[in-house]
Amino acid sequence: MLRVPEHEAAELASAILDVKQKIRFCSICLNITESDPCSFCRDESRDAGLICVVEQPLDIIALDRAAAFKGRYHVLHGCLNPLEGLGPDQIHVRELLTRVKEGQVREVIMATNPSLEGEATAMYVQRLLSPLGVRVTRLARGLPSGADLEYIDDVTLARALEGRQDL
Amino acid sequence: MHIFELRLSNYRNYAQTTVRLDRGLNLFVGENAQGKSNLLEAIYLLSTLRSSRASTDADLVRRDILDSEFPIARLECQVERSAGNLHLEVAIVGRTTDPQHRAGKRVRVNGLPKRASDAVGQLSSVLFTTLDIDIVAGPPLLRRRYLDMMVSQVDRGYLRAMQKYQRVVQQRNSLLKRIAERQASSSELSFWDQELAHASGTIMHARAEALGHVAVQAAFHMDRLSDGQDSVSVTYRPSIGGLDESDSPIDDTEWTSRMLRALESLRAREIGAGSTLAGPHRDDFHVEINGFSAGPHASRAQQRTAALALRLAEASYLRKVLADDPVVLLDDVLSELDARRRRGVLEFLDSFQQTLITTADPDRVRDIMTRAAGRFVVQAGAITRFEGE
Repeated sequence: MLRVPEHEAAELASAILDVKQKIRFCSICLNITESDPCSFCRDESRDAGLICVVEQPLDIIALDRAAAFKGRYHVLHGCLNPLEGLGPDQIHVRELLTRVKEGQVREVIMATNPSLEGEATAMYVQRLLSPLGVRVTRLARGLPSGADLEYIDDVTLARALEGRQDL
Repeated sequence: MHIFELRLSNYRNYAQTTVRLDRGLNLFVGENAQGKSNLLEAIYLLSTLRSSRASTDADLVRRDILDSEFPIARLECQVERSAGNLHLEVAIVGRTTDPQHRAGKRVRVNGLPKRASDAVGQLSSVLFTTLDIDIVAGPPLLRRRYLDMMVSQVDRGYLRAMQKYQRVVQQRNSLLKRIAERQASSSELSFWDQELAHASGTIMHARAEALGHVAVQAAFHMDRLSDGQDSVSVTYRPSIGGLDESDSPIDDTEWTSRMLRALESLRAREIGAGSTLAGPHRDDFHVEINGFSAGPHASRAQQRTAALALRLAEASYLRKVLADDPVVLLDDVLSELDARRRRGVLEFLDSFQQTLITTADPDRVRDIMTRAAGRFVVQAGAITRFEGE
């Protein structure tokens, strides 16, 4: 730090300050944003009837990079993990329930991680939302594109077999 | 199956060694602390990816190089199997200061990198040691380990279910504690109950099946080894109870629903205790000798014979499921037997493709010397073949 020019240090300092002062959570989807609602929630070309539920804001960046999803998002900021003391009250499930109750939503896509804890979260949300008559789906698990079968680990292969599809 | 070549480098007391093994009986003679047990442990480790003795991976790396830049032990074997030949390599990285190189095991199967859990059972083996008597006389933990190491060699689904089960139990226990402290509601249990019961169903079904085979085989061997003097019976005792003599074999879905019912009835007690009270982690199987519980009522000699019968039963279980012979490893167990029992063991093992036997006392086991196809001397981490007497 001692060797960098003063203006660079000032830029870094103000960038850190900006994070503190300008970044907040979107009041609708809880993504991190500078303006509330966030750009995804303001974008009218995005289907408001489709909500993709993720664990972390970074997951949105990954999903959006794939450019295959044109709906809205919801960030839970965690997953159910009793060992870490995370239950339904510690992650933002209630906000999701409110959004679905408002009635516009046709489908909720659970894009939590394919870990035990991610599955627990997906199942919990599914049970919570099913009385409301909304369709709840889960991201498929299977083989990565461009992979070589002999290098795939057994668990992934077993899952891919379970989730096979008609041609 | 049989191993035709084994290479060890920087493993335990072996700096660098290559052994060409024979089909049939291979005898390893040496004083104590020369590396006989380490040799069999190496083969068992290639087979199960777990050491039979060491508590940490660093224990497996040769001490002289543990503080060097690359504290890595390598084990490698070439195996002829009915399911196709196998080249298995395991590298064990001891302690490391370089964050780029994690400590732990790296595995290659026929040149391809694999997860350790995916390589378990590629080489199949049964290890007899003098500690086996504790399977009969010791705590339930050792009987569960006997079952787990046997079944996970041949059933990949079992190993996966075990790994998942352990994780679910951890999560579920802390949820139970939080419920007791009123920080969570018992409605959150349902997912974990389902996952627990599901994994339990797979595990208990596999255990019941394996023990069904083991019970018959162990009884047969006990009768043979004791010349009809002693009998042994082996019965699965799942922690959820409810396995009657009259029961026809039940499938994994039935085990799952029995487990769910058990969890239901234990709910209040589990919340009070803050831990999971039923399931495979509390299973056991009973060993009875001549109709009485083997722990308190049998003599040491009877317990030892029963343990031997259980290991022989394990070998025949693996052979049945694999439709191939496991490699049989006997670590110093024959010298403590009388000549008749020793002959009984060897006659059965004659039908296996390959057996490795260690002894510190070749004069006591001259009968083996004459049977052995390959004879080796183990001295200070070096293995040399010898012919003649």
